Amino acid sequence: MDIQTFDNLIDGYLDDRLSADELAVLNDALGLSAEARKRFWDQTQMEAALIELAERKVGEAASHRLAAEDAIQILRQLEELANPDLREVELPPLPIRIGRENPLIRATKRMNQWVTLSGPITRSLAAAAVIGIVVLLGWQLLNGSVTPPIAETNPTPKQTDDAPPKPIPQRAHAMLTRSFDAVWTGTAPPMGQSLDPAVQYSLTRGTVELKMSTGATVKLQAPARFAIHERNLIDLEQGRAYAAVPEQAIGFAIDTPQGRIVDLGTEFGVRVNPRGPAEVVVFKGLVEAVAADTTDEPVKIPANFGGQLQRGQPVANTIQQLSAFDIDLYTRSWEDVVYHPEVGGDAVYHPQAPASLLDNAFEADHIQVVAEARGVVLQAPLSVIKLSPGYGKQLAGGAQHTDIPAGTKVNAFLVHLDRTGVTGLGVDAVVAELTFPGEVLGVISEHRPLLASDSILGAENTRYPAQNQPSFRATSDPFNSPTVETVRLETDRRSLRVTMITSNVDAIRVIVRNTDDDEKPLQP
Amino acid sequence: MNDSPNNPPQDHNQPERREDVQRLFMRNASVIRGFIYSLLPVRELVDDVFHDVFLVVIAKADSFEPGTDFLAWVYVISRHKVLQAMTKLRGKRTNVLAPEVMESLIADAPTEAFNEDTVDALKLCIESLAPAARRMVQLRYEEALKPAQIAERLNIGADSIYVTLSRARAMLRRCIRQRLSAAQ
Repeated sequence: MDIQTFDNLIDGYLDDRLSADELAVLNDALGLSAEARKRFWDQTQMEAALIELAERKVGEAASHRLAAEDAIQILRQLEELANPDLREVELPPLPIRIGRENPLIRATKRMNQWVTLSGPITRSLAAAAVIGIVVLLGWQLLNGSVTPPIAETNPTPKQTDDAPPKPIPQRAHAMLTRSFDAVWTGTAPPMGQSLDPAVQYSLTRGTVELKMSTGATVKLQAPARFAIHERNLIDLEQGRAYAAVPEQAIGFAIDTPQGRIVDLGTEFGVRVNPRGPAEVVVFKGLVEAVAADTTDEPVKIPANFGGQLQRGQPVANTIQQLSAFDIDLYTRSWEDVVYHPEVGGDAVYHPQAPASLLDNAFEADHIQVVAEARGVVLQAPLSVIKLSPGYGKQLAGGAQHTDIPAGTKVNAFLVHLDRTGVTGLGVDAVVAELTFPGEVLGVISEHRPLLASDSILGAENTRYPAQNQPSFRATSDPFNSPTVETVRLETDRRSLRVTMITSNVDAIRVIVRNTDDDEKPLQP
Repeated sequence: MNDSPNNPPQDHNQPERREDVQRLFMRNASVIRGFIYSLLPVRELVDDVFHDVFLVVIAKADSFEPGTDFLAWVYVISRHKVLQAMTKLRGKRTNVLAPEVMESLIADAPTEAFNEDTVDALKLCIESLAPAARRMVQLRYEEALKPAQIAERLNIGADSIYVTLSRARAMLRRCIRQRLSAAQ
């Protein structure tokens, strides 16, 4: 069994998703091979280290969010610990561990169960740890490090369940202006025309953009169920929405089963999951949020903060600062959605191709992914290396080829590695993880086909090598050597894992189906 | 006598022996938790087993021979508690290793803890992940979401989650190896 397959089995075991057959294979491998057992321990120990690190981090963050009433409860617990009547308890001490849930409550609950008052070291360490965290929290509260959200005294009226149903006007209030890879269940709104205010729409795949009659634009990601019954309001039953609201549309609101979000001049995002709280994130300006079934005042959420709405629960307690990924998840531009790849691993993406890709002209110690031709309609069949999803393909002589038919509209991206100043052998492999919006149709890696396709699929105004470039090295044992250059297409047919090793320059061209014209909603 | 994690000082009376065993346990807490988690990768059960093991270790502190392999002794205790906990796995987990495989794994279990250098390297490596992978790591480990829950949270198919998680783990392993090698 090759290392990649074994590692996949361990990942599957850790994620509890192995089939019975796969589990049997893993059991066999572990039972028979000491090397497999060693690798098992390496992988699972790293998993345990990840959990350890996460729990430390969560413990630190949670202690900062601990509310004052929790601190009071802790202090009461400490008073009980000092009770001399408890000295008769002979239970052994417990190492205090800050866990994932409210850490101080958890720690003191454990302390009440197990603490010994006859062990001076443990008791004093335990009490000191708790006191230390409480003191830190108190200091932070006094110094404003932990800032409670601002509650407003003039709430925006919210329709309650007891109110009579709102009349649905016959006039439309929004139009579908863009769609990508969209699949609808039931009624599909026609592109460029108004949405029917009497209809609840169900987007089962893809991303669409709506323009409200007030000027607000809303991007919706599937799976999404929504309706637009009123001017400047979306009823969002499920899905992820990103709204950009100009000044004239202030007051634009999104109603969810968990509560309402009202825009006060902003860009914000909302995610509605039918089985949990709704999430709101604010990128610019300010929104007001109030949970359903509460008498709470609406809470203002400023830019770079987010919160959760849950029926009957105060929003204020959920406000926290956004991470970079939260922001990225919501604010990808339309270009990002339809064209640019997501790039990870030892790789960087260049949406603008450099002036030259000659040897030494575009050097780095990581892979560079360069955007090349876009929207090219092939005038003749294009021969590419055939990739089978889920399997690594060795990019050397003997690879199976297939033709992309003439008339196919494609985009091209060059995956390029030119080591900084290295001219000898013995360099490490470099790995890029790429996900494209469109289907990966194949790759070109042999030097003659690369040269031949430069003029058709290369970037305009970029100088490409005229000389032959070194091709990928072949090996008789492709999957057991970490230095073999391989491309692996994942089962989604859009993600590629590229492993490259070179002492000089190497490149492969990835051919991706163009999706720019995917504007018309597809019928299910 | 050198003060290594596996060799407590000798010639102590019982209360001090108990405290020495306590200290050894605390010093090796990370590797013991890692051992338990590897055999029983269900986070909500690991804490309980860990605490149960601790109670037994303290209760049997007198039976530990100073100078012998502390972790091997703890592993024997942990094995019993892990097997007990496996009866609670129904409904929580489908992938459970065969008992004879667990015995082989226990025999080959590591005796060295991942130290603070590894944890520091891991922190830096996580920060160097691509945003999507880093977020996946955060959701999986800090928020302790299962892959299916992450898929629901992000409105993405479960297959994509598995792929991203596997890649992230592979990148982290490679990164840690590189950082620790560079540090030597």
